[in-house]
Amino acid sequence: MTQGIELSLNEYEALLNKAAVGSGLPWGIAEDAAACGAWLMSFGVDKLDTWLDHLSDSSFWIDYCKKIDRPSSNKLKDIFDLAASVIVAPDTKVKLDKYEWNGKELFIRGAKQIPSFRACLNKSQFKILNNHANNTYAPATEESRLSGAGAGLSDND
Amino acid sequence: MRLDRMGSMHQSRLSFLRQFLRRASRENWEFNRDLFEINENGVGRALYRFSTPKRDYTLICFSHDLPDEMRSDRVIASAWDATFTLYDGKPTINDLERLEKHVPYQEEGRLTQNELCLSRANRSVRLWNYVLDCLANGNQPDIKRVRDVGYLMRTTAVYGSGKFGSADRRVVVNREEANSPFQLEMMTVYFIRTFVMDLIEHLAKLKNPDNAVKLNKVIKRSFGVGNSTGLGMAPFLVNHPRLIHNWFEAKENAIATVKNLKTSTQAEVKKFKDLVKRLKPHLKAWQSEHPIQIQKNRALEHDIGKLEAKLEDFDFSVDFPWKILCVWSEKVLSFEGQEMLNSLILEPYGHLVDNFGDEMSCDETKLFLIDGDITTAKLKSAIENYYGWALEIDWSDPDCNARAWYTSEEKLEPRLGERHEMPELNEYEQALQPGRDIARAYKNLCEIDPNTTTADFLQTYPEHRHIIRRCLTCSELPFSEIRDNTIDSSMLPIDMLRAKLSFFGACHFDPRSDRWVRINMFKGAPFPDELSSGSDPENWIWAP
Repeated sequence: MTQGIELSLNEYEALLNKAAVGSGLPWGIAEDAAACGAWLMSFGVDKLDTWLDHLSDSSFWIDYCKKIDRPSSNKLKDIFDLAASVIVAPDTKVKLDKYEWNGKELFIRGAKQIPSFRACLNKSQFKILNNHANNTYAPATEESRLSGAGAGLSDND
Repeated sequence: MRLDRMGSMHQSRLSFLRQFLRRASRENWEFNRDLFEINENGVGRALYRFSTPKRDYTLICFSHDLPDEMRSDRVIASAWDATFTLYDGKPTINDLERLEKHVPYQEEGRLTQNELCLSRANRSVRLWNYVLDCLANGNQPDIKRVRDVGYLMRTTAVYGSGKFGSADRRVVVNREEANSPFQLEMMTVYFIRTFVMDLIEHLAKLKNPDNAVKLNKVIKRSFGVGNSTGLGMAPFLVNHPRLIHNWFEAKENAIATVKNLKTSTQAEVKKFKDLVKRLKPHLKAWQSEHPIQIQKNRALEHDIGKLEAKLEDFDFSVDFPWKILCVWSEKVLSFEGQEMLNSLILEPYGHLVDNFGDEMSCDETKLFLIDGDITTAKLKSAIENYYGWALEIDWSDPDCNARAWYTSEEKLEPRLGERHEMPELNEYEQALQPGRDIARAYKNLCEIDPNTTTADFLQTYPEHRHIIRRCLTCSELPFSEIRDNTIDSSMLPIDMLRAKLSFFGACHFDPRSDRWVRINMFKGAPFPDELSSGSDPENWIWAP
């Protein structure tokens, strides 16, 4: 990977959440999408680019949420389905292609993944996430600067 | 869980800074100042370390020479008098050099998993030079003046839990000393207080090596650490319903435990009465220029008078004395007074209530799962039971829908705007108005077949997913939701700040506006060296 940026896992999940909202997903859907992305990252599954591609397709995430809400509808076709399955029922063993969840740990091609609370992104991914997240921030105006934060009195005392 | 009562809460035995001090004392943590290299301009670095039974924690302090005109408490500030990070272990020289390139820049810098908290503080313009000159000239500062301000520096942010690259909470959550909420943040602030005292004495000595004196021990104790908190803290209470439930439930359980005691001993009553004697001096040093707080403090002054009078002839030998006292308070005292009493009655009963502190944390890492098979009829009924208050609000009334919570592009901090004056804010509204959002979802639920499943409802109305998840989470947890309108024209964000800060253990709440509050932490508390030489970690509260 080219020199990138390292985030804590919860910081990463918060950024995914904001990026998902910023790309137009409803809040509740964004929460599940972010939890899915964070789960993948914590087990070293490098699928952020795919996750980002899916942001432009809200129906993908609405379907994903259905698999969370009604696990019997989850037909386990891709790694996102596997994540949904493990998130809902972590004790249940699941196998899909090279991925195998034994009810506790993830193996990729037989290699055990060490869970991590860090997220490593390349600069391009970080930029794309932030670009989406930026859509959730209101442009600052002098009015909001003063009134919105509630300052205005001298705070230098 | 109404805002006006939340806005009157006080610190208690369960507050996080008190839990922290209790543990540090009980486990006899060893304290060391490993480094203190600061020049006459106040520039340099220092290291403060606690050795707990299993590991070390070090506060790394960077001290700066900040021009007066750059000093601002607001989150948009870009430089501070001092900046800090709490390091997990003992830092090496390489760590210090790495962190010196990041910590002074705060949000602009990056931390690693070795760092646990990030903070900064500014000097009090009212006191700093006065105390420095006093000490340099061989005099002690006037204690009344010290008590009126209460601190030499105030922090303007204390970040933890993975912010800016620091360690994710999951890294430390299984450590006993870090499991209760905000324990490492409390350690950070406690060390900052010690650093500030060392700094002012050090600078006084450099200014006048022959005549300078150290602070008298009693006066030194009167300094806490100030904190200036803006709106950023308010959404936390809404965004962490499961955690907040645990905080309030623990305190309610503690209060109920004491109220349900059939008898009290003389020693317990004496302890309580001794604390009541501290209330008036404490209140006297509680300065505020904010009209609402002035009024509340005036009511509290009357409340304390009424409580003192009540206690003169109150018969503690009756059955359930604490319950009788609390029932009396609900009829006679203001919310400030009632909440003060609720905290006070816990004091003699550490052996019965302190363990509730162990139940205040919460694993929030797993998203609450929605059971898609629940029928919408059941969902409606949950809303009616738990959110009846929200369904009674007329959301078409502009006053009820007056504000919008949003995040500013500039500093990525939460702000609150007037929706009708700035309609563009609607586009950026955060999910911080559960009352209105549940009413919207409820309206759609009323329009569909009651046998529809929640999964199908959310496929049709994905925009309600967040609030339906919230409803299912909160309806099982009675203290998880503020039962008030968070976007009403009359809502006071300081009520939310006050509730959270009381759980931290703050006192001397001094609102600077309806959405900005200054507080004091650790005022009166023993310093680390006193703690390790056996000072009582509890008997300093309600200090003047």
